[in-house]
Amino acid sequence: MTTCECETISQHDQSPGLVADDERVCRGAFAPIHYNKSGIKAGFIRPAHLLAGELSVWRIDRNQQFGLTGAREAIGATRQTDHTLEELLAASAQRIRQLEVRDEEDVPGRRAFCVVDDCSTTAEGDWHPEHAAIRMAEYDDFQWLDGSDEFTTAKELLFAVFKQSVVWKASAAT
Amino acid sequence: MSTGTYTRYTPLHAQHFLADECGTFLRCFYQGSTQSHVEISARIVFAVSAAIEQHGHKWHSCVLTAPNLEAPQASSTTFSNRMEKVRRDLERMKDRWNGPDSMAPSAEILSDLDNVLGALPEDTATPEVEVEDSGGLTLRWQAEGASSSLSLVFHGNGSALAIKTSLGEPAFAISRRLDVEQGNAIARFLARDDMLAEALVHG
Repeated sequence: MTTCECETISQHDQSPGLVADDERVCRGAFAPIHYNKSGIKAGFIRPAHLLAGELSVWRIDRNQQFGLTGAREAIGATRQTDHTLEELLAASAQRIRQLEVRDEEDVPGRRAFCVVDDCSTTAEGDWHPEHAAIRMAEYDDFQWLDGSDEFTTAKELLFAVFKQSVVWKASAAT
Repeated sequence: MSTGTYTRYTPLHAQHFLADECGTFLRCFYQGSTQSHVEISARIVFAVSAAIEQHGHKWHSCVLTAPNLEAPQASSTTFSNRMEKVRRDLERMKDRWNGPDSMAPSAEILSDLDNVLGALPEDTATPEVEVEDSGGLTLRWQAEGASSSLSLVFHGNGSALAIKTSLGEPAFAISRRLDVEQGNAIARFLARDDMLAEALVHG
């Protein structure tokens, strides 16, 4: 797996360390905005946030004291008043880093995502040590463009991978 | 018309084989009783039948529906029926359905959708349906625990972006832009991969 330069250099001065391959990161899905009749929508991954390099995720394995409970509380604190946190979906950093958009089935393709230790939780300078971000991998000769086939394909792949692993459900917790 | 049985996702393969042999006659092969029927001659039927058997598959009653043939019983559980309801719901959507900037799927998107639905077999599982704020439409088949998924993304430009995600280790995705007016383009994309065909049937 190619390591992107942005993953080898800390992205925040308060970072507790780079995101290791075996760490899981999670995202929260809120009702009603992230759901439709079929269940969770791909819209829970915001294209604009991915392209801006700041799709928010939380590290649930680095600090046992924080863990899933800490992530649930931190994500829940960001919700708007008419939204409720319904599910947490997770994947390991390695799995996300290995995701590829390919032209052919058996031929290695283009790595799509980086997972970085960006602790910033708001544009106003708020931060949290267990906060991280997923961003599009950068290339000299290629650019991910919103609406392009390559970007749409990568986004669907990331969504499918997160959907595979629901690590917490509000309905199961009550 | 005498009939036999298919394995569950054989129709996809059959449609692929038939594309070369029968051209436009192909579509009648999958259309259910609720969609427009196409005349099909005995000669073509034999060609179709031979092509299928040559690949070790058998005939199926439900996939042959033409005016002079035995049509399947209408059932509320067929893919066509289920998708008709989805189609009506999409058609009723209005702009601003999800805030001031959101748009309903355009007539062009619905037309492209119709073309694709007509090319899918009747044993297709009901997909997840997602409308973006831009009006873009995605049909998605991803069963819990399945090793692959399929998405068809529409933006009303006469094509659909077909995305296969393979969820093994490592996971990857392949996409192809397909001309929706050529039903066999969709069928060919699906037929080349058994796992994909299975995802389509089992949802």
